[in-house]
Amino acid sequence: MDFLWESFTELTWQQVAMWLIGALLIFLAIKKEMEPALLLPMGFGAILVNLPSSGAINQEVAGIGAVAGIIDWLFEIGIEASEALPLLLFIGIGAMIDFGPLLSNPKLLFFGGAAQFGIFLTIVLAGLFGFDLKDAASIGIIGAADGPTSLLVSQVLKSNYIGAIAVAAYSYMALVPIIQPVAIKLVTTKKERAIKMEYKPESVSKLTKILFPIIVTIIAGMIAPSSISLVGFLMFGNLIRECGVLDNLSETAQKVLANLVTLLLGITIAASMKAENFIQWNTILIMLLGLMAFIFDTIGGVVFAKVINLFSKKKMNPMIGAAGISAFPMSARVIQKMGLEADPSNHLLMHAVGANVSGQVASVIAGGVILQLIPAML
Amino acid sequence: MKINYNEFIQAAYAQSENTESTTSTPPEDTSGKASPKDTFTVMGKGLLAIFIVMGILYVAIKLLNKFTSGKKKKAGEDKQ
Repeated sequence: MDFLWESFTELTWQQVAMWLIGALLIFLAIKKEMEPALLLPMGFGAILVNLPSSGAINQEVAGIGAVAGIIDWLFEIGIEASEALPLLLFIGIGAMIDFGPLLSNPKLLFFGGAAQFGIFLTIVLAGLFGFDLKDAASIGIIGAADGPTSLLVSQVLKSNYIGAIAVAAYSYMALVPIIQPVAIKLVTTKKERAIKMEYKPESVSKLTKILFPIIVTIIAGMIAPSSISLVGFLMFGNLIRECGVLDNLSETAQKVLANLVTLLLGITIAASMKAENFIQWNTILIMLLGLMAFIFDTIGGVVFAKVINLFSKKKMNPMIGAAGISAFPMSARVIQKMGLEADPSNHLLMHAVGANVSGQVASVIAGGVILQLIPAML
Repeated sequence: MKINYNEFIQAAYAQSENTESTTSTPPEDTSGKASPKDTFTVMGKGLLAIFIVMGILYVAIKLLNKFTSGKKKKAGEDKQ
């Protein structure tokens, strides 16, 4: 009857710690409603893969040999092989985005670029803390505030910390309403936050909306070929939305595809949350560095806007720069709310949405640029 | 026969010299620490590349808006 308590004798404290972490993620998902679509499957998956001799992961069974586990299989096929799951999710995300506010005010593109500052500063910080270049870059990309980009870059670079990076990326995306106001108030005054901006958008034709995803793919692909899968799938989803003749596919991409992939992606990421990989001091350091990435993304965007203001007659609200982070649409809502707090008649939403979708483009380009630069330096 | 999960993993490490699966390979620093020179190089080139791409996209969108809004105006005039 030894088989009944064999697992108890094999249980390690690290595995128990992972159960608690899994439970914490589930609690945050359900009680605090923080990115529940991802944190709940990740939390439950963390428990599944950290049970002794878990059948959910690959095992060597006496008398039978190697037995494949479903979560390891999903990871090998859905992420390791060709980053399929994050890329398929990007089709759904692209189909959800309306680039109209950006196309009507294209200078907001630069705020999306500036708000990627935190990615690169975090790469520098991670290097100072002793991580090698590929891990430093994988940690820095948490600042993309974009789960699929973070997963894809860390997987392509074969980072040793995919699990921690995924948990950090999705957790901090959910914490944007808490992180950004603190960071913004550090570098702005109430007077600056109260700056009003008129909304006078240029008209945007349907042809522009159709050509935009094609042009973005070609330009980004020529400059950073490694970004083609990221940018291409995002823009493919957007083209399905904007073409006007594929409404059923657009709706399927936005709802069915996005939900299905999200459901699988969360539990698949758990394959990288095995105790021996996750329970180490570096995990705590990665969580801190990820937080730095988000903070400095916000500060980078705000400071860029303030620099622009030095040379502009018509001042812009520097909080718009903070909306260049890719956490869509949470960041735009945060900026709208902070604008109203500073001045109840100050509506910044449309400007913030434009910067926010620009950040979506900039973050995938940042991912592609990193994939282009890092391998050449290894 | 009793299977010890931890022993299995250690054996898998020893056998998996040629595999690079991150699901079972222990953390291992194989490429050395990133030097400040390298990381600052990534920072400089990376931000520059992003702004260059954004700049090109800005010009492209301005041109698109200019040419397609011209067509919209003409279509509006023709209708009148």
